[in-house]
Amino acid sequence: MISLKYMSFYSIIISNLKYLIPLLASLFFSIITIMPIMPIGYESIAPLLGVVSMAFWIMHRPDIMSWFFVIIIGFYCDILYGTILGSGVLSSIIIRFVITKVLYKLEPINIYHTLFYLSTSLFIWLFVSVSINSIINLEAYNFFNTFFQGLISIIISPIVIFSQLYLLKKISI
Amino acid sequence: MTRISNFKRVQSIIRERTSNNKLLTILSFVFAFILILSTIVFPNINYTIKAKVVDYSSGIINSLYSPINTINRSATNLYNIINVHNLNKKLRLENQKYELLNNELIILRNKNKKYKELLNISKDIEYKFVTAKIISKSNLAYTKSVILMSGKNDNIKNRSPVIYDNSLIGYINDVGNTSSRLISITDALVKIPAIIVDKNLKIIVSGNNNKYLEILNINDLTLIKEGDKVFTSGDGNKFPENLFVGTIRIKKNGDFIIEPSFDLNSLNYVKILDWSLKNRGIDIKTDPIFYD
Repeated sequence: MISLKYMSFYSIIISNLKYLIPLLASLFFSIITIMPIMPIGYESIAPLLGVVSMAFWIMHRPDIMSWFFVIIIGFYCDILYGTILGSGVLSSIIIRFVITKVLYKLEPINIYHTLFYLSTSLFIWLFVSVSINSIINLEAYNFFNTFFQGLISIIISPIVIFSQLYLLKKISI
Repeated sequence: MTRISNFKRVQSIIRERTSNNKLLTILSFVFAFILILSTIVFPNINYTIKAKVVDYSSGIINSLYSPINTINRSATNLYNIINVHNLNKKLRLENQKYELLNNELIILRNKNKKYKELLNISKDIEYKFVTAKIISKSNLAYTKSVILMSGKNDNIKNRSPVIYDNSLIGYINDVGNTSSRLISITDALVKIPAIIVDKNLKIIVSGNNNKYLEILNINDLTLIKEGDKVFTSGDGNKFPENLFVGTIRIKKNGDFIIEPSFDLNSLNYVKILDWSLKNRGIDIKTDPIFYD
């Protein structure tokens, strides 16, 4: 009887582990962002894969990618990238708010909708991060690099989208 | 794509919309603002949190960094192999120039040694250092920093200068037990008191989150020429003197910029100098405002 009880307890944990996949995937892609993924000389415009991943899960499963998870991702990104603590958190909260409350429609989304939502998310992230970092540090920033970082992120985003569609399919089964 | 998750997606949207989470939304925003404000008011607490979290994740970051870096390096090496003939030609010409310069250097070094002996000048300080491995890249447009695999356990202290081959690379900003963060000289936060030795011209060099550095507070532009070498002046006790910063270049619009001696992203290891008062040769009571 006891072993059955434990079995059901562990099976509950294991069956719920899949709901951590969006968080873990986004954190993994956030780490990949600071890895040597770009050719030498082009590092400052590396794609923001963590943001793309987070926006993807907010679009498809906002119930799993909760406010709490979004805060964790923003917080971890701030620490990894060495930016002002809170700027990433605010950016990710605004992204979730905009996607779920403003942009979301109940019609099925296709690849164009996905790219539009992603572009908006990347724009929000870069705008908020750069604004907060430049206001607090009172420095002029290189906006060309920021613009191209956003652009490269959009171009690379299909790789993240398709790899995560596989995970989404696994979760949805 | 539409077929895969449409049902679940619609379900989750309905769940999201029907759940009354206005309070959560407000709380999330309030939390973010408090976090930003706390960064301004209590920067030390934030540094501690950052250092701790980086410490815990440094193992994962390092294990991912090594294989990805190997792949990246292989691609760069392949490019170099293809261009080996042209590179060899270019390097031979440069080598001839350096051979001539080396002869002059030997004579100058000898003269300098004799002058020092005659004047009875005290010996230069030789700074102790720790070699640290870089485990991340500076990949963002709005900040320039990397994570190092050395921390308090290796006697690394905050604000220590970081060098590579006698060239200034940056300084330490956050220190954990096993990891630390290196802020590059190209970051917009960094200001370096510098000197153009040939002209005895003191300048302030500033990063701007770009590949090149900017010159601040310059009055007489006519003195500076392309190719001039910029070194640290040692003013302000932030960096040691005579570290190479970069070479003066002219932009298309005529503005002067400085090309850093090394690109941080091309390095795998750096040297962290021991910047304690004792190691700097200061053993008297000092005002911490000026020396720490």
